[in-house]
Formats: sequence, structure tokens, C-alpha cells
Amino acid sequence: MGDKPIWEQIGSSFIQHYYQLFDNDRTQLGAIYMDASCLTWEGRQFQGKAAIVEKLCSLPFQKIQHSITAQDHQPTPDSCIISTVVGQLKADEDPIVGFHQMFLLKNISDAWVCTNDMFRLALHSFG
Amino acid sequence: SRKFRSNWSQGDKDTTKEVTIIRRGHTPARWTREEVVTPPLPGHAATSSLMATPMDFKTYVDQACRAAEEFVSIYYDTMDKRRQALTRLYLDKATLIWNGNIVSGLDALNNFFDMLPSSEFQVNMLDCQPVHEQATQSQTTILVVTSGTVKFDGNKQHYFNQNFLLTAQSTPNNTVWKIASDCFRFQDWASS
Repeated sequence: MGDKPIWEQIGSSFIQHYYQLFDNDRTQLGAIYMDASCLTWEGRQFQGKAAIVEKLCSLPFQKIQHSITAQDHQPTPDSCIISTVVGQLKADEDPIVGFHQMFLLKNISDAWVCTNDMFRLALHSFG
Repeated sequence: SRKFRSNWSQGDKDTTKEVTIIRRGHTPARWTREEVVTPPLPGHAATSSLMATPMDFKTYVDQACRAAEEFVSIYYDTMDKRRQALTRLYLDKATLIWNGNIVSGLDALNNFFDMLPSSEFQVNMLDCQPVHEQATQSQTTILVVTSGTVKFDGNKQHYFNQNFLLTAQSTPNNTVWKIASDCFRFQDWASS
């Protein structure tokens, strides 16, 4: 049968959930972060769930769609998961642009939360 | 099943940090035999739970990011010019995923980097975050993301992204940084 390792299952499930929320209703993203979470968005740091959600909800587009080219998942020495995504996105009627995002996931009381999130547009590469 | 628990907080201040661009020729940290050694990180990251005052978060981030910048500078310099020494920057049990290929443990890493063609890296961007101690059971850990361009064996140039989980082995006098997890991919992976 060849089941994927558990960290791949959890990571890919998280990724799917994250981008579904992001593309459909960013206001719901708060549930995946915690007070200690950090987001680096295009080089700027945001600390804590409220600041992160405020940043994501204030992004200046109406429509957004992510398309994942590749994802990688790794367990860490202390039972966290690093999930890395390479893909493309389209905001409103802007041209399609590449992006790269990395999440550190931790299991807290049986729920997987994102403690660290780092996002960059790939502004100099196409396709 | 997926459960993402709500846990609302008051919200923290927005801490911003300027983007740091790595240029080739950056002066490396004091280092011994391909290790990356930096001055000790201050108390916020100490393993002792009896540590008195938590440091200001922004200061802690800045210090962690300086260590990350120095590590990255040495890493790519070693990758390009002293490839045989590269695995000294990895923990014995480190894992790498290279364009989807899993490389696990020092023996496999040694083989992998031995076979990888010669490289010419140009790092254009670096982001860094300390990992909150809640997530790492008291081990000082930082996350680093780099991007830029690379040519292998003089072939065509690729845009790449790489992320590292760096852990610190701290002594009273210094901190030695090593890679616990490494993930590398071409940005144009699907069409390369």
C-alpha cells in the first residue's frame, strides 16, 4: 500500500486547509495560529495571532488563488513538522506570480498549529 | 482528523524588521574548522527555566538573525568552494530534501554532496525567525529561508529557495550552529 509518513499526511493536510481558507475566507485563518506564532510576510515580521490575522486580512486584493507546484514535509528533532510550498498565485486581475512559503507546525493539545510562517513572492522568476 | 483550535489573544505589537540582502564577500563569523561559531545568545534562549528577565522580542529576533546571516554566508561559501567540508555544518541526524529527494543522516549527506556537481550560488534574500521555546523544548532554534540563483557545473541558471532549521549548541563562551533540517527546491521545479 505504501502509506505516506505521518508528517507528510499531516503537512499536506495542513497545506490544503491553509490555502483553502486563504483563498476563500482569510478571516478564518486565526484558528491555525497561536499567541506565540510569528509570520514573516515579504520581509516584515508579525508576532501573535491577532497581528498575523490583521495583516493577512488587510492584504489588498479581493480575489486570490494559490496553485501548488510542489510541497515538502520534514519532521524535526522535537516532533514538529516543517512544510514548504512552492507555487504560483493570482490576485485579482494581476499577472500570475510565483511564491514560496514555509510553515513550522507543532502539535499542541492534539491540534496542529502553525508557530512560524514565512512567505515570499518569487518576483524574479516566471513559470 | 484535522482540528485547529481557536485561542484568541489580546494581540501583540507589530514588530517589523528590514529585509536583509546577503552580498557575496560578506565577512564570515569567527569560525573553527567549518563550524559556525557566534557569541552566545542572550538569556531568552537559555535552557534554564530559572532565567530572570525575558529579553525584548525584537532584540532576540535581531540577534538570532545576525547568527543566521553569518551561517548562510559560510554555508554557501563552503558549498561553492570547499564542498568536502560542507557536512560539518549538519547535525549527524540531519535530513535534507533536495528537489524532492530525501537525504537522511551524515553518511547519505556526504555521498550526496560529493556527487552534486560544482555550484555557484548567489543569495539574494534571507528571512529568519527564532522558533519560540514552546515549540522546541528549550533548544535554541532558528528558521532561515534563503532564495537566489544557482548554476551547477556551469549549466543553466535556476532560481532556488532553501530553508534551514538551525539548532544551537551553547556553551558559556559561544554558540555552535548546525543544520537539523534542510529543504532545497528550484522555484521553476515543475519545468526544469
